[in-house]
Amino acid sequence: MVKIVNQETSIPHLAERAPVVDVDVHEELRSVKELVPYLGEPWRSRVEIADGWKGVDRFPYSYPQISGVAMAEAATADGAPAGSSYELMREQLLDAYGVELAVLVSAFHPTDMRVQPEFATALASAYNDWLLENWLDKDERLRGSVTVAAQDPWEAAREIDRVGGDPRMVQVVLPASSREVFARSFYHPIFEAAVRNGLVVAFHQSNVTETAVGLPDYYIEWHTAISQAWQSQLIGLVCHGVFDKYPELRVTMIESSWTWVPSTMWRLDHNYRSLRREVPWVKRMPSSYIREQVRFTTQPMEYPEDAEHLYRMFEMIGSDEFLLFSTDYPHWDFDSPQHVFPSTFPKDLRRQILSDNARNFYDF
Amino acid sequence: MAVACLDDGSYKAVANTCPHEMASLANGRVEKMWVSDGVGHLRAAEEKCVIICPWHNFEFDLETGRSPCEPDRLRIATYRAELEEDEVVVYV
Repeated sequence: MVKIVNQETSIPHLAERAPVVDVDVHEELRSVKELVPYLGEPWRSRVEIADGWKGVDRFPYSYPQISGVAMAEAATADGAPAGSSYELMREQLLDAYGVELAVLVSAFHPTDMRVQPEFATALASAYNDWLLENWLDKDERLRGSVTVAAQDPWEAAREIDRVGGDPRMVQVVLPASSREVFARSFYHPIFEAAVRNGLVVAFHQSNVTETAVGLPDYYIEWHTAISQAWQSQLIGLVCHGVFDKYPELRVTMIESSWTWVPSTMWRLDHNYRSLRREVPWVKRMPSSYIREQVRFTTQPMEYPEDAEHLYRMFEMIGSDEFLLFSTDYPHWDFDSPQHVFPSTFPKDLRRQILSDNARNFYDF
Repeated sequence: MAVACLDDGSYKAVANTCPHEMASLANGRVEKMWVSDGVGHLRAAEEKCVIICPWHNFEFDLETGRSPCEPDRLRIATYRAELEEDEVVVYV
């Protein structure tokens, strides 16, 4: 094996000791069997039995990364999923980077199940109880996301009402689906329940998120192109009038990347000037809803050759509030709060992104 | 200048040039403005007419000249037009 004697990077490093709020941290089940104590019958037995249910859809690609989906140091010796150990998360993220608040974003999405909707609803409920007991109860710095099974929106709304009142729950998480537009009126009970409980609605990719061409051959193609799923969800939220219907709704697009935001705003605004007649329930320019009611996360950060181009995105979007810091711990493309920002970002802006924007948007 | 005759027999006159790409609005169409009382519901407004540009379909309120999308940013000039005996007179 080659020994690394000198680690260098062309990315400018800037020492940071500003407060950190991280809005994309992943807790993981060691196994779906961890949910057994939180399930009632008939579902409990179906998960508990020796060769029972194996989990929501599995990720289709083999990982070319050195430690699979995990950052190498977060991979566990016993093969348990990275992110399944609170102690390791505390050591590697919360303590190491002085994280004041970390929003846990579940990668467990019963919404992706295409069968047995009652089972999916029961799993979502069990997961939320597991999250509260095994994570949020352990550390005051942790905040949680309500997991739902969106295929039954009324049951999902009931689940949001059941656990969403816990002040540590700060959002409802939906998969950035490439199959279904969650802005359709069928799903509105979920948005209504989120608003009723003062929760953000967040979108994050799941194992079944696809690109505009479905599943391309290679992971690198998929990983580059999946932003299309968030774009479609965002465009849907505007065009289906969700922001008009729920003016208090707040939405976070997590891990979508964000450099596509200006061009999507421009294109949607331009189309609105031409096609407003089709959706007259949309009352304002689409970009104004996005600017006011939607936030995006830093990770995965992108690095144009001229870092100034990245900074100019803030001017293009017309806001310095739209971006929230995220690490994506414990995954392979983890971004460090100390080193992620290019030197073109002024110190005040870095501080705003690292902490203030999330505190204001989530009302932390 | 583009002059429109509405269903009620009244006339409206606006600048003929769309501020977007200079198309002639007279080649477009006048219609009741589509409005909505809620998601999924469309209604042709009785009280509001728009002229639709033949290119890109930008709309302009015939009464105010303003775009319903960006009323403070996008507008065309409007002029008073009257039927006087058998002539349409536009006051500029």
